[in-house]
Amino acid sequence: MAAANSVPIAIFAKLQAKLRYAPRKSKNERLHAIRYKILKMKKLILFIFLFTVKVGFSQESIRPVHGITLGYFNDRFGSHGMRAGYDYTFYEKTRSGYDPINVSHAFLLKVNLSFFRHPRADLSFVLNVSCGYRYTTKYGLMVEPLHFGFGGMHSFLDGKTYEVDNNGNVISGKRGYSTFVLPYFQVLGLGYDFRQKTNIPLSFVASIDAYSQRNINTKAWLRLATPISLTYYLK
Amino acid sequence: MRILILLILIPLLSACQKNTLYEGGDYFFLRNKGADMPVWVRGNIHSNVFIIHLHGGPGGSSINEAEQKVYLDLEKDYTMVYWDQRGSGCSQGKAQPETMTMEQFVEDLEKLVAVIKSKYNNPILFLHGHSWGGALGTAFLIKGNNQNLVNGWIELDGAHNFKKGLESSVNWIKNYAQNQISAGMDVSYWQEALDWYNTNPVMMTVEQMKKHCDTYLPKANGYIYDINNPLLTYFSGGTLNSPGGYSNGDYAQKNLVVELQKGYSDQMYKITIPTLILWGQHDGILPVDLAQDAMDHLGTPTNDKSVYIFQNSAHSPNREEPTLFNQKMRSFIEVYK
Repeated sequence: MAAANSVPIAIFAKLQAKLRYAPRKSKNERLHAIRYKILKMKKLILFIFLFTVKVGFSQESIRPVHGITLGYFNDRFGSHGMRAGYDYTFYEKTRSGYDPINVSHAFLLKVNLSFFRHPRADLSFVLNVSCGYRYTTKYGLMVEPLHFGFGGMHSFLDGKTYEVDNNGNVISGKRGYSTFVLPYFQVLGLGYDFRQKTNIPLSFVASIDAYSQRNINTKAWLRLATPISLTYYLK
Repeated sequence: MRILILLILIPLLSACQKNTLYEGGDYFFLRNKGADMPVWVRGNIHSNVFIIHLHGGPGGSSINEAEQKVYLDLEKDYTMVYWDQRGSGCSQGKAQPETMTMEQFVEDLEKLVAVIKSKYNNPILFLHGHSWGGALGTAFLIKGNNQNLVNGWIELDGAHNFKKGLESSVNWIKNYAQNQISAGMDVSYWQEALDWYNTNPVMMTVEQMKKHCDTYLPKANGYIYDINNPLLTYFSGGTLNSPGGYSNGDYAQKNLVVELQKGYSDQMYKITIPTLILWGQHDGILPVDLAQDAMDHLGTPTNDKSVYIFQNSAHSPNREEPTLFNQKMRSFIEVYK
């Protein structure tokens, strides 16, 4: 028991001694170390970027990669609307070569313009870009776990806006609005790809999306959307 | 395939359903100092009698109270003006914390009155404030010549002197706790409550206020006298599909704590217009002695001010005894319109 304990104690003592007697680095040395770390980080980011580009563009397309999307948009389960967008599959690989009737791993980019009306509150447009992974089973079922993205939201008040100037005159007409940038996540998407089993160039995805809004009284609001999108793949 | 088509069609068709609860009337926004405040004007516009409803809270919502039976009944003969104050209820925009002051709220109300008068050809106006709305209404009326803009003031369990009201509220709940302990009911809970009040004699923080208002008062029925009253079901507090899907209550409460330490009793002599004071006998948050305080301090001639105490209500007689409340409102409005 004592022998087993003595090993970590010895390591700890060695480390302590090293730290105690390690010469204190000068300011320049510390700055140099930080710069070196940043450089290493930059190289890593560049490597990931180049790798992604290489994978994305060198991949032979096994089926159409461009799709146009039309669908239903629902903000917080009560405010209905529509969405239109563009799907770009920049990487796709199936388990057995290029046989489309098989499991598929794909990375895709989505650009969507959605709008919805929250009656008597606002009429909002959301433009967002998101990127993520899609898994398709050989039966055509699709699962899209977390997609990351960002976007912008432009909201008009759902009603006329009145202002009163300093002289007491009532000014009416101009509809109030607000614009802001927001993070946008597709939390989970589930769908079906008709191409796996038929020749129909369609797929649909129902998803739960989350995004934040910051226009209400300086407070961040989490908003949930449940869009259902139908994608038509261009030849 | 058919199932898939159905799955797509069902939500699309549900999008066509209408929410009838929030229909009718004029719905617009008042924009002032960063806030976009919704205003809903609904009822009998031909009556030319408009009642501006000042909601409680702070942070509550008039828009969501529009579904109450009592106001729907009043709308048959008068026009109700439901307005959500800055940083409250369904209001939008960017109301900065520094604009959350009583002065700013009064300015917003002045602008609302200007819009109503301009848009509806100078109608007869009554102000009706509940709880925090009672403080706002009082602050509006004691400023300059504002009281000349309205024909009458109806205060319902109002916070015209919140400072005094809070002291009274603490005493009310301490008495309640003592009675419960004496009766052997929930002794440990109420003993703990008494201890808390003894260690927090003055409430200055949001946390203290929340503990008092959201924990002990509801437990002592300080807001609702009879929680089994079937009439209470009329008020749902809004749904996600209502404009009240936005709820700013916390924001207003957090930023108006300082305002809740004030009282306007000493300036109420300036108010000389007809006034009706309505109060619930069992109110725990603004106890009934504040009704007499209002009567004592109002500058209104004795014949033009009156008080009525609802015997089966706590903080909201409009919800708890709507028929009687409605009668009192109508009688007052008919005399002074």
